[in-house]
Amino acid sequence: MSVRKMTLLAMMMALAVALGYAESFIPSFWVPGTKPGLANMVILLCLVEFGFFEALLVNLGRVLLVGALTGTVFQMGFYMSAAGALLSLIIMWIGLRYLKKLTLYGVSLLGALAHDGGQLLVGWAFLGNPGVFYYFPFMALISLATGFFVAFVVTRIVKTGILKRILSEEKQNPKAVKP
Amino acid sequence: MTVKDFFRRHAYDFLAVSSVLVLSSAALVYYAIPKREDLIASVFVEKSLLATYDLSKETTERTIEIEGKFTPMTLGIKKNAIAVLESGCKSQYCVHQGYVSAANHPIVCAYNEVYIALSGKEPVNSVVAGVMVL
Repeated sequence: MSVRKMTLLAMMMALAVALGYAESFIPSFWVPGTKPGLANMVILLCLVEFGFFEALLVNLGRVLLVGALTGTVFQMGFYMSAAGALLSLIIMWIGLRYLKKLTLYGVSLLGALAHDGGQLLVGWAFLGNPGVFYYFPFMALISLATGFFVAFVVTRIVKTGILKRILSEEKQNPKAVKP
Repeated sequence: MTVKDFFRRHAYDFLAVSSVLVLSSAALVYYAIPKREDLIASVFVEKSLLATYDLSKETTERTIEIEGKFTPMTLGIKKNAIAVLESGCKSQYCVHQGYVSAANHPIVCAYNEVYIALSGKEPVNSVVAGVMVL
């Protein structure tokens, strides 16, 4: 991995952590624990521009660091967050790779729904009661809005081609970035 | 891009969105149908059943102290309704839900691993019971 790519990924992780931490101060509306999923913008952007493993790296780092900052590491909420993030990433990756008829909007919606599903699955495992899925329809409706917003922002960023441009500059002038 | 092109390009996105919208709305409509029934509240802490309360028999409002996984919690109980009045959790989502009086609507405190399940009480003279007696 080149220094430039590593720096970009570190910046992405920092941005995801900042957004995730800022979200922890936003009060939930309507359903307990629901958040706008702003950090998912960074993850989807990484997935589109870099690939699965880079997005996985940023995602895991984000979950761990936000958990450490909010003091919830290895508690139920942390595992819910981690499961939601992982399942969302896997579903978005499948969407991008195999469901070619979906645009980023559809992929983002699937990711948001998978995030909800992952969280509730862990809730079920910890609480031993599938009744937690009562919240799923509420969360799914909120996911429509948050998924659309995330896809809208990511589509705009991808269209500018800024990340591809930064990475291609390195290929054109490798000496400029190598230590 | 024309409107037709736009809809053609996003056809599967619209399909996904409308499926979610229809299914979620149907579930919410089902939740919203008022169900007059007597309720039983079961309080679980870390998967273990702590206590069961027949909410239909509650005549006055009262509070109950329970021990969550990390902090104590105060539950409020009144006729066919239950709430978490106080909890040591940071988010306070469980407290903000207020009194819940619908069967299958759970109250969850993720921090304390407390799950309060509400279920409808089977009426004694129900059709099922009648068939069984016959």
